[in-house]
Amino acid sequence: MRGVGSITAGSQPLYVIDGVIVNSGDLSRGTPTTDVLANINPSDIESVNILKDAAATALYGARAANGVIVITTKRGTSGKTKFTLGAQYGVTKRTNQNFDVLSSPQLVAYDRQLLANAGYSEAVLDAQRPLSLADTDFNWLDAGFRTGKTNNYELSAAGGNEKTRFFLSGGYFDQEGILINSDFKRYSGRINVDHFATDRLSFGVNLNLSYTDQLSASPGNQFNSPLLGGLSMVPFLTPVNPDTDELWVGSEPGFSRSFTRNNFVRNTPLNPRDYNNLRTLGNVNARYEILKDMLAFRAKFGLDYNNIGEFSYTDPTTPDGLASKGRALYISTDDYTLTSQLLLDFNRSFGDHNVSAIGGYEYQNNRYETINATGTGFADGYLKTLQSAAVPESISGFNTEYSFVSYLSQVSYDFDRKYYLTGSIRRDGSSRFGANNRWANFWSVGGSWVFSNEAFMDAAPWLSLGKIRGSYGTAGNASIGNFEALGLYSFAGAYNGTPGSTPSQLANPDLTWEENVSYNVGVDLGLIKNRVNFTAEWYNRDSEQLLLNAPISSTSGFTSISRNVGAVRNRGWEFVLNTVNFQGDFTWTTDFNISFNKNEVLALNNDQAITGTLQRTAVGSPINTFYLRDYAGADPETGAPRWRTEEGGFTSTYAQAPRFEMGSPNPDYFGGLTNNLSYKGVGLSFFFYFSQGGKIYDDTGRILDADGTYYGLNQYARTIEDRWEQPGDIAWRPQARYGGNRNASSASSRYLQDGSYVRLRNVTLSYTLPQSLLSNSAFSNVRIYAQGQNLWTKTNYEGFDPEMAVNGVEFFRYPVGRVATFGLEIGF
Amino acid sequence: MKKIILSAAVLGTVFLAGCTDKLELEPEQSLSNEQALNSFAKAQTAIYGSYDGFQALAYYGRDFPVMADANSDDIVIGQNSGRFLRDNDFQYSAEYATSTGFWNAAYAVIGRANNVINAMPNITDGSEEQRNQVLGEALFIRALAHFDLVRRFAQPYSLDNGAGLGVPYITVTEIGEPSRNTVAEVYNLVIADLERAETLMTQDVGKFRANKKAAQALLSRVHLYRGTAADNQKVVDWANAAETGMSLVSNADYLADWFSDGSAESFFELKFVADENRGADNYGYIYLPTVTTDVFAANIDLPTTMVNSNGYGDLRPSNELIGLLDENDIRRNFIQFVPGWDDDFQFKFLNQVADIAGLISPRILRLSEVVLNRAEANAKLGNFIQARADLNRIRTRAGLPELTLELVGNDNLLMEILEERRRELMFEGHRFYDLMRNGMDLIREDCGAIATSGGACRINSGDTRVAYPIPQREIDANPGMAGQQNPGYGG
Repeated sequence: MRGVGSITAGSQPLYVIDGVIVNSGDLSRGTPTTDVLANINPSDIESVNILKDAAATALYGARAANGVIVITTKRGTSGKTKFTLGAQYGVTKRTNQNFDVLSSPQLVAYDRQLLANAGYSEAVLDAQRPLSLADTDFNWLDAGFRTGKTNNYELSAAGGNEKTRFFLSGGYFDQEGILINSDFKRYSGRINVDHFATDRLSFGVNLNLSYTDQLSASPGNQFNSPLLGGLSMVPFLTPVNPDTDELWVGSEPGFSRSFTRNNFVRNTPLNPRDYNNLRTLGNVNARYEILKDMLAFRAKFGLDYNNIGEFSYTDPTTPDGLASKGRALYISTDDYTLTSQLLLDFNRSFGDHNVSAIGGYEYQNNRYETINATGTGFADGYLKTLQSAAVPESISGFNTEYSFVSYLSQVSYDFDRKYYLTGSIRRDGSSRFGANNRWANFWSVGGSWVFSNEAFMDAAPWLSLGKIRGSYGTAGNASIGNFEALGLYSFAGAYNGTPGSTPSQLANPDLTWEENVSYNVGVDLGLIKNRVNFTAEWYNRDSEQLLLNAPISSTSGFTSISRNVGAVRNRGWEFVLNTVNFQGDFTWTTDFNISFNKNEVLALNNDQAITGTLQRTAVGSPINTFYLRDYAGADPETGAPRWRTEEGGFTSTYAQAPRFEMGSPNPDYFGGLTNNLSYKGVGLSFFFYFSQGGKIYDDTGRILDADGTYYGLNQYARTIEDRWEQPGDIAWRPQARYGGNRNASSASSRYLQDGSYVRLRNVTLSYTLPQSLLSNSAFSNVRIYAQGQNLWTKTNYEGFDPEMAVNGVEFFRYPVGRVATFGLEIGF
Repeated sequence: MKKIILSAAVLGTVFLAGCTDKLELEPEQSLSNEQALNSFAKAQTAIYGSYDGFQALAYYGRDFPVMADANSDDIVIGQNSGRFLRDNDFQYSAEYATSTGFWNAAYAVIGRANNVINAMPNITDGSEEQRNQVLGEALFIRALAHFDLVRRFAQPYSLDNGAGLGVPYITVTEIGEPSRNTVAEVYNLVIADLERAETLMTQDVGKFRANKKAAQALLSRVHLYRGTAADNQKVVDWANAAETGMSLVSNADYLADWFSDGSAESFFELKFVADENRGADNYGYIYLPTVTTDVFAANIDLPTTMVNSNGYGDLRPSNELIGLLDENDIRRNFIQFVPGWDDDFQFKFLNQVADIAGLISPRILRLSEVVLNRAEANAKLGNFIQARADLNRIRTRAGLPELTLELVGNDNLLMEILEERRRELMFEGHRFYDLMRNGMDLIREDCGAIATSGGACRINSGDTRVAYPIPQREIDANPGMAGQQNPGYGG
């Protein structure tokens, strides 16, 4: 997608599956990193089309501002029924990125220094961190991480006759995560049927049923998570209490040298976090040709139903459950999206003139209903349902709803397959906006010229395709809360057991659509019978009327209000080069793409920068530009941290240091390189992904490289390098001392790093058995393969994974793993 | 076939009709502003919403009083979660999230109260007394929140007789651009609101809501803070009014009184209930160590159910404070040594609600404070006999001997009263303001004994850091405050 085009509204693309806009993203209320798209079995997908330019997205214009991803699932073909059986087995490990932490002798020595530097006597040092502690050196990372196994089995059948075609599939996917107690399972089934009742009437059904079940440990930034714990538990403690041979709980005095006071090895399995999603996604559709081969009426009714259950249990014997004597939380969520679409299709050729047109109406309604209940007071960890809770603690729930109505039209015309023109206009309304500005019109025009089809190009036979194209158009974005335009009082509060009402939102009747104005020009060239294909494209996308939480004086009782005031420009180049380097028995193809995007904020509320703790959005700079105090290493005399001042000097008083813009999380360019080689049934492909120039804030480092701020947590191994120890030392890190050294670990450029990387995303080696071997067997096709993911990464980023940053900030996110997979595919 | 076309056409028409209706959706858990404040019952519900705002973590739920406690010489910060370190070290900037959060929370409470105050003229149901009570509570809430803001974000009145910049006094909810009122203006408006509230509130609503006595008690405090001779007389008058019909909790009941809420000597407490359990963010957890019931029961002697605590144990009593507590002082029992942690912790906020560790109903105004307000005002007025009598009531209740004229002369009486105030109100967020409003310096005797990162050992009265910076986001969003940042925070 072409850059971030919104500041507060969503910048997710729109997902369309088999012609119906579907839910994407996170519908859960308490589970991080879930996406309902995980319910789709990737093997059911026939094609994925990414629509970016104005003309292409016009059909989905209401919400197409961030681009459209069109997914088409597999369909049957008439003829013999084809079965495909797939089986996969894989293992996942953590990557070779930087997870290194201090060993026990290193940490004991470091901690003693922290205390000594803070003025403690030798006696305190010996009491707090006796040297004998270093005799125990436990690897907590290995206790938090594991080798995860993946199993995947699927069977599909495709076939049909002249009148009816079908595709059926069933799949089972079971993946163990690389952190303990994290698993993902998916059961999926699909049926796609198309029936041609007469030569004018056809109808069909697409139906996907799936169930996913995801078990996770606590989110990475919590004390009892295996990720934070694995990285930060002190190695001189082990999970087992040597006096009792039982696992520590964490709250015992004997475990008090740990900051977290929580032994995740014991507690994580006792505190499951479960998320499951039953999804029914489908549509029924009909098509009737009113005028044969010219005018057709199409109708489609879609349902996307998600039933989500979330369960989290905190065992009474774990530190988080001690006070409440155990806690269980159930959340049940139903999310329904109903879509209806009525379209008229027109297609006609008059000589060399070809005309097609679409006109129609679309309505979509979404309803979200959720309830949650919490109970506390559990006898033991065996009975976890709410019935076993002694105290019903809280119960709540809410419903919310939105709807969209659209009228759309599009006309396309071409002459002699040389000149193409297309234009569209649509009108969209959304319940989300203020009564004054609910409706908006969007339009687009596009054209292309296939000059290689011109007679004068016959002189250049090496040019198999030559095309120049361009488009201009507008699209909308409505990814905001459902009732943001209304002035509201909420009755969710309570005081002393009595409901309390509070103003929850200021009225905003003028709130309206965000609008994107995009234009692009491109050229497509195919050379030497399309052995070389090249595309270059320049685009500009101005996102206007952006909804901004305009900060307002807190004396209003609120800190911000949404206004349509912002503007952002994304402008860039995209190049794609596909080449067939060798053809024949040995085939080698190369696909290369690279994108350059420049993001610039053009306008904000009163052009006032929106400043957060780490980043700001300011006119003239990219969205979320890092805006930090500029850390300048330790003061050689005192060892105190220093930050740069405006005048180029230094200050060791954090509050006096000014903040500067220090780069953006967006890469200057990114892209991929794929090579496919094959020789007589043996195939090898490898795919590199690269990203250059984005900055990452190592927020994990703020905790794990913190000069004593978090005494009792282990630290990254690098924390003892390049640090100030005595006057005269020129060092990056300040003197480490108990309690931290003058805000040295507070937000500053100290933790800002180059996030560029190259990663070998995928390598696949496959072998397809020759037909000669299969001719006497029942099999029509047999393929075996081995696949590796994320096997190699090159980066200067010091944190544990450059790919784990969200908006440029990496903070204890579940890391991707290195995966090795072996698979078998049999057709019969 | 025709049937299919027909039904499709009918279906289409059905969908096309009433499109406008399809976009008219109403939320199901909120009411529009007009509907929310159109009856007495709803105004009362909105008042509960204001108390709910006081309960915010950023305000009386923890941060506001604890910031001031961290400023003081009563505590040191031990092994820590990083919280309140900046307050302890006086190292906050205008972006400091905790004080920004308090600023926002206080003005949110003010907005809620203002909506009620401004809706009352249009409400006709309910009795006049009922309506007056609700209006009086709203005025009290507005006054208290402004008073707390001016304490935190401005220098004390005594520094320049209130000429310095205070905070904007807000009486209407709007997206405005108000400038800062002077400290003197804020005090005048606080007192005017409180006096009106005191007259209006006549109903017995219990001590978990604002009431006439709470207004009287708060008036005694506000006048004490303003501190002119006329004010000191008002302190005495309002304290006398508030005390009528109330009595101090006895020595025998004193400890137990802190382990349940609704204290007999409270004028106004902010009531927390069991389902407001915030886990790690419970008020008391900033003081309490993580300790199991067993360790507790074996080592700590307090008249309460022992509960597992998962506290941070960040704020610990300073040796200086512990040294001021005689072993016969009943209040010394709040400070207990915890094995395993090998340090002293304070247990005043252990559990008051449903035996949940750290969950308490903060006591906003209580009689002991009012008695000490009066003692201090009388001492300043030269009414030494009355001042000494009040001081000795607090002392003897604590188990300490009376301070007779022979033991402490009148010249030193005020200092004794302030020291007693320090002991009686310890950890309740008074000490730092008490020093500053009296023009006294903060001198930390423990400084250096236990490490703190910045090592703020002395903050003199009048130091720019006494007034917290106006939050940067307010300066940025409000042109009316351009150039009105407090000195010392880079304009």
